[in-house]
Amino acid sequence: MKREVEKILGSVQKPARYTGGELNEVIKNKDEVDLRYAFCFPDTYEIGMSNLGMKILYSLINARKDAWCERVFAPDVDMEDIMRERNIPLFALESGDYIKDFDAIGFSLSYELCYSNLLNMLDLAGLPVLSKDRHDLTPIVMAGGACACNPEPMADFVDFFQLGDGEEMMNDVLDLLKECKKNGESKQDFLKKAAQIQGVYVPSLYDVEYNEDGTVKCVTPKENAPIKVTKRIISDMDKVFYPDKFVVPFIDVVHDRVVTEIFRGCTRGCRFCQACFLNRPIREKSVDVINEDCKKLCDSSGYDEISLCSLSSSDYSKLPELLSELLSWATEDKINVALPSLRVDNFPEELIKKLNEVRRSGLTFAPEAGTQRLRDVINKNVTEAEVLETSKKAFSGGWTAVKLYFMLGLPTETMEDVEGIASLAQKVVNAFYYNPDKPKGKGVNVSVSASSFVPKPFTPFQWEAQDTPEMLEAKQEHLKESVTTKKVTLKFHKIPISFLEGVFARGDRKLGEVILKAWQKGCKFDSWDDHFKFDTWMETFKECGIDPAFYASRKRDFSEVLPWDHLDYGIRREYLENECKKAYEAATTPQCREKCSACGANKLNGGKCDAMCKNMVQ
Amino acid sequence: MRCVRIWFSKQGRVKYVSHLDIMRCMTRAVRRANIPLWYTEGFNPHPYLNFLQPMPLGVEGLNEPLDIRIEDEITDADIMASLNNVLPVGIKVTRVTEPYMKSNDLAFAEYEIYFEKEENLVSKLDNAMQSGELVCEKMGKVNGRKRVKEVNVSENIKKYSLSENDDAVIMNVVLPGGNTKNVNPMNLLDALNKYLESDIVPLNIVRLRLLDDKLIPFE
Repeated sequence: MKREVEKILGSVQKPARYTGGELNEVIKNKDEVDLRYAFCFPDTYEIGMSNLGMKILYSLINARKDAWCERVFAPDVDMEDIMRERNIPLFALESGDYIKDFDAIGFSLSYELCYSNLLNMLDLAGLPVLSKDRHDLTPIVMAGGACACNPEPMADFVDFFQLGDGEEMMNDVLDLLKECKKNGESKQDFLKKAAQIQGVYVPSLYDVEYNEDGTVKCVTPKENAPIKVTKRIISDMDKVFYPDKFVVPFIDVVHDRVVTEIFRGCTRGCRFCQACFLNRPIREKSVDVINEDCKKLCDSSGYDEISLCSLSSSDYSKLPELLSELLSWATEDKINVALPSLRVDNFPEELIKKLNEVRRSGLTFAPEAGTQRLRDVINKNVTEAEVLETSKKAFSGGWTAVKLYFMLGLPTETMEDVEGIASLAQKVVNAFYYNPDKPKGKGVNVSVSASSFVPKPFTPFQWEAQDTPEMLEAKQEHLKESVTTKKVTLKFHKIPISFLEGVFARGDRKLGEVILKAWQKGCKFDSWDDHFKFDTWMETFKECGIDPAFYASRKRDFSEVLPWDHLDYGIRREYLENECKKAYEAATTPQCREKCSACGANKLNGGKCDAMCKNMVQ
Repeated sequence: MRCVRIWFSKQGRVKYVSHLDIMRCMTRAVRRANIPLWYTEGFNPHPYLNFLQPMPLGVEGLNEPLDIRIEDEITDADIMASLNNVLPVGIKVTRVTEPYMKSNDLAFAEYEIYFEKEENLVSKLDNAMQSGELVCEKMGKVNGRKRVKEVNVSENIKKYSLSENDDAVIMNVVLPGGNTKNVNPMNLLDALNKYLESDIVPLNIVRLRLLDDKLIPFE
């Protein structure tokens, strides 16, 4: 650590966020590596250290002898102020060296509201924020994560994006970078070659033309770049790299425990859910591999909690076997096993018993919508009876608090659907009091969290209009009025934040100017209520002559060229269109294990899909 | 079941890790080291770890005690070796003993504060320490409410000495550090800066050892 940094640590909050030195951090001799990689997470240490993607890629890059990957987070506002005042550039935690001298800077973009932070971190590092102003090959700036599926708003700032699973792609990219650096090739040469790696998207190699109404006319590749960039996937989850060590933070971070992935993708096909479609086809990890991963990670970290990570844990095909294996040693070692993302229609009593063997955590279910009609529209495939049945089971199992997740602003939603949320919550409360086995002497708390629906690319709702802030406000008010009991607590997402998310999610390159100007005016940490400057954003849209409602609140026609149409996540467009039409008929689609709906993603994996449907469409 | 006192040092970057976080870090280390911990018997069994004296943020420690309860099937030497195998860089177990004294015996702590060399610093500091007018502001309770209150640091300085070597000016100082009264070296620094109207950031602060009320090292 540099003395100038040490001098300021005494006067900032939680200085351990900036020192590194945690257990299992990787220290290498910088003279013995060819590439230095700064893995940047555009949010604070507490958020970033919880990110699984970062843990995987950190270990993966450091498994290479020729590269050293270090961690970088967005300094909190107090730290940033002092750093700017004293001209201290952004540094990496492991070595304390400035990242402007590194070879590669990689950002993880998991949510749209971190875009301004990416600019801020580049600037803090002492680098130009615009890709075209960075002339040298190194440091090259890349980004990946969920937002890479429509990176167009960030096209001006990031040199290239990685689409899909990063485990193999990252190594291909670093091999090429090492080669180009050795041969003294230019940044342009490198980017041309990188565009040939499957999954790599170099925005500067694509020209975008617009129609008069502002929609995209066409996207034309140049310099031999592929017409469509297809995302990269890992074929065999059992053979893919997985860390045996996690960096164990000193300070308390959001998710501070062992995390193992049990499968990628999701069989359910809820029409609002981007993660489901971005991560298909289904690929499961075997029980033995998961069990071994968990053991190694517990041994090397000392954590007393394991969390099994996936989009829908109870859909793992061998969950009972997996839990038996894990609990056979975890209980004795006083290690708690947590199963997030459970579904209400798939919650056997056996599972409740197993979960009760270890310490009990909260129970959260996501009916997503208040009425059966609307749940059919979004293809949630959960009935009220199932919600109540599962709640009853949970109450007899000793739980007294249940969390329910809903969304407001779903397509075709009416005020009746909004009231449905309140009445469903009320029925869950009633289920508690009618239950003869309820825990004695305790009340019930049903906590309802209602977020605002944001239409996302690569989902059947990618053409839909997002509810305007006024509409969402009216719905939130109506829901507040519909809840009549104190046993139900309501929580809402901030509407302006969801609106901005909606703009970026389906934005195009014209938004680059807005992001740049808003950041120059001090916008950063937009997902943090206390830092979010909505008025500044709106003012900037106006200055740039851009109507944000064009992106968020406008319904698109199927014939429109979408800004992300040249990116291919394996899902057929006709499938998405068909799903969208079915939504308006409130017709459901069975989940993948029952019937293959031919989404097309299995083609990415040579026709394989672990949903194992007998009638899979090749 | 028996209780052992683990003595550890905390140096370098980890001095910026807060007391609470060091506690969690040590708890995990004990788990990784496979030390047969004694767990409380209840609904939510947890191990017994007792850090006798909190460490101020940004201060290194050379002789910090930690009491743990273990199932009696491991030697003190094995505890030390297995912990040192798994601790993060900067934290090291130096010895393992029986708990000879009780935590109530703690009364003082001895610190060394290292300053960057500058002209007349020794005499300036000496004057300030002699002045009897060192005060600092500290969060504390006044009539049960959290308020900023003024604390006279001068009357709490048990003893001090100043010296100089090639690299730094060193102040050795004994401050209250017990269960009832505690003065953080940062409070002393604030008071010094206020008195001298300066903005000194020390090179390092080290807690050498904890002492009882007769200034005998805590064991």
